[in-house]
Amino acid sequence: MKLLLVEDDIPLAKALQQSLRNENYSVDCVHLGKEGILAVKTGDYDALILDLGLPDIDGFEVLKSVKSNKNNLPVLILTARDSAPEKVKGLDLGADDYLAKPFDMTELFARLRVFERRAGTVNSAIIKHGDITLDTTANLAYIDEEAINFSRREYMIIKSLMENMGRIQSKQQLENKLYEWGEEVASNTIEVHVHHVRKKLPDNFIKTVRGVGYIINKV
Amino acid sequence: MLVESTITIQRYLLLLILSIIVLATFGAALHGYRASMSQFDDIFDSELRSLAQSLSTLNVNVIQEEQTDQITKSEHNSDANSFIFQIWRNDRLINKSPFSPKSPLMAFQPGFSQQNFNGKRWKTFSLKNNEQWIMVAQPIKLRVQSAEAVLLEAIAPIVLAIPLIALLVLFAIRKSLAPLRELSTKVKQKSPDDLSTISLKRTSVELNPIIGTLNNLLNRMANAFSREKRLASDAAHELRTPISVLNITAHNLQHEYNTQAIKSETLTELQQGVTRMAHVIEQILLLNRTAPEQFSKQFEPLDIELVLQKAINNVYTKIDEKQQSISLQSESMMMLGDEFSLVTLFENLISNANKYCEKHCEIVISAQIKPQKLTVSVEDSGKGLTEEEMAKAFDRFYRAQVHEFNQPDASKSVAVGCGLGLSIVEHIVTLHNGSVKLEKSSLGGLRVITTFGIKKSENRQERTSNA
Repeated sequence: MKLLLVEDDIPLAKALQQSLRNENYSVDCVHLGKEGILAVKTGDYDALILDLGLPDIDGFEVLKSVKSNKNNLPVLILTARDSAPEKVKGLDLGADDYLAKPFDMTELFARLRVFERRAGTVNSAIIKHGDITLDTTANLAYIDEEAINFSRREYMIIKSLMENMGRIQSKQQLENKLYEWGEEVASNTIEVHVHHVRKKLPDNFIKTVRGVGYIINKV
Repeated sequence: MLVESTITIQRYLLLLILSIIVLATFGAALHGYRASMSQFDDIFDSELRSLAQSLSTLNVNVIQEEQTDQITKSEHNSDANSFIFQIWRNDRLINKSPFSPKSPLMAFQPGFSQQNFNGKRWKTFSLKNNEQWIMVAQPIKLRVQSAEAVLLEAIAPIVLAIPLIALLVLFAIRKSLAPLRELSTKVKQKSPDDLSTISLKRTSVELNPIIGTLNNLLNRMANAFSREKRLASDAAHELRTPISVLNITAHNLQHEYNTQAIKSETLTELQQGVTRMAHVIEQILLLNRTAPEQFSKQFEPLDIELVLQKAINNVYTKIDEKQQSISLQSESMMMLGDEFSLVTLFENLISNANKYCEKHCEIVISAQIKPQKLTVSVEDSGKGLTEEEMAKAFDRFYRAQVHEFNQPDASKSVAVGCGLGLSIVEHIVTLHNGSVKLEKSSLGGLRVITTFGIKKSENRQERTSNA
């Protein structure tokens, strides 16, 4: 899952980005509202984490613009303001969720998982398919109760495919989800990752749709 | 505790004034009654006397008893209040008025007396003239009636006017109590959290100090509340972000511990987070600790040059790190102020210049005395602020955009404060009755000018005492 973080406080943005990476998300980060609007227009994100107190324009302005451009992009608002009217205004403007600072990372992760489930084709934090079980809360995959040792990016691929079971994930989509700005991506990177993932899974678990991408079929 | 009073000033005044009017009226009536009684006494007495004297000079015929009886009977009912008289000669009644009894009206003694006969009380007068006694009498009732009639005529308009007077008094009282009533209504209508001042349409010299004191109190409470609210919101807003950072960093550390890969970078982040938190708390406390009223009491004479040197000293390490040059153009100048807060003020300004300027920049601090004024300016050769940014600069939590923001290693830039710096500067300057403004520096960057009023005599005095 690829996230856009709009947060002006650099130490916070940095720590948050690290934390989200540890949780197997890839995160692009901008520090100004206008940059956030631009990034949403040009990039492809699965969710937006938006701080309301931005130095250039108000977070609500960013929210309005985002919702008028990409209505289905889930937005989670982060704010140090805690008044109820603020919350109501944010939610009424189309924010999907709201977290007041200081927040607990596990809570933020849980809310992001809700976004993932809403966007994907499964509706549980634990996804089962055949012998394979994916526990998105613990970030672990199992074959018959036995944990599979995936690397971070491998896990991101299997998670993306299982969450979107029955839907083809293009190489471009996967690449977008796995990599942040500034990370070098070789042209065959995704194929290499998928290759490694396949080795750890039963045969034919991930199918290739030639010229399009990869899919895990629904049973 | 005050005992709840049920009587209104209006009712009290009305009752009091009406009672006084009624009492005064009846006092006047009583006095008038007595006065007119004695007047009438005198008038009627002299009437009696002159009547007796006129009778005595007349040559009175002796009338027959039968005649007198006849007259008595026929005109018995006429004029009951008129005079009666008797004329006696040698113990014999020789003449009398129609209603006079036949027996002597009084003892044969000259002068006034009071007697009862014919069922009435009479005032009598007798005089002796050549063997002849003249006795005249007049009913006392006549005097009383006359006095009462006169009195009634005098007092009636006043008594009749009392209700009208009451209405006028009520109107006057209401009119003069109107400001008080308005004040009372306004105070009563105030909700507990409404600390706006009170103003009346009409007021009076007596109410002015009350309203003044009340408004003063309200203002001070409002200030205290807004200071408190500001503290709460500062604390809320400014502490939450650093707390979040600490929280997330701790979370990350936990993750790194679990994966047995603790990075020293994360530990540094934690350290920086704590330092930042301490800084924010310090700044917020500073910004909110002092109420202006109390603050000026602790002012002491200070040498601004020493203050500036101290401030430069406190931030010198950071300036050195960025290899910026700093210079102070000042001489020993005295002003009244609080040393700690003034050092903080200039420390903030210098450290702003340090934060927002690139390496090898020039920072110049200069202080000079203009008549009655002490000006300290801090300027730099950095990029400065646009006019729009200058206008926003004093907003709490405003942070100028740092140009490295968009670069991937933005996190290396430590140029991130809490956005309270200039707010604090403004606060401290205000506490010292000074002013602060921003303008473009001739060095190319920003120039912050702080101006403080000083009394010339004060400065000279301090100088001489210093020397």
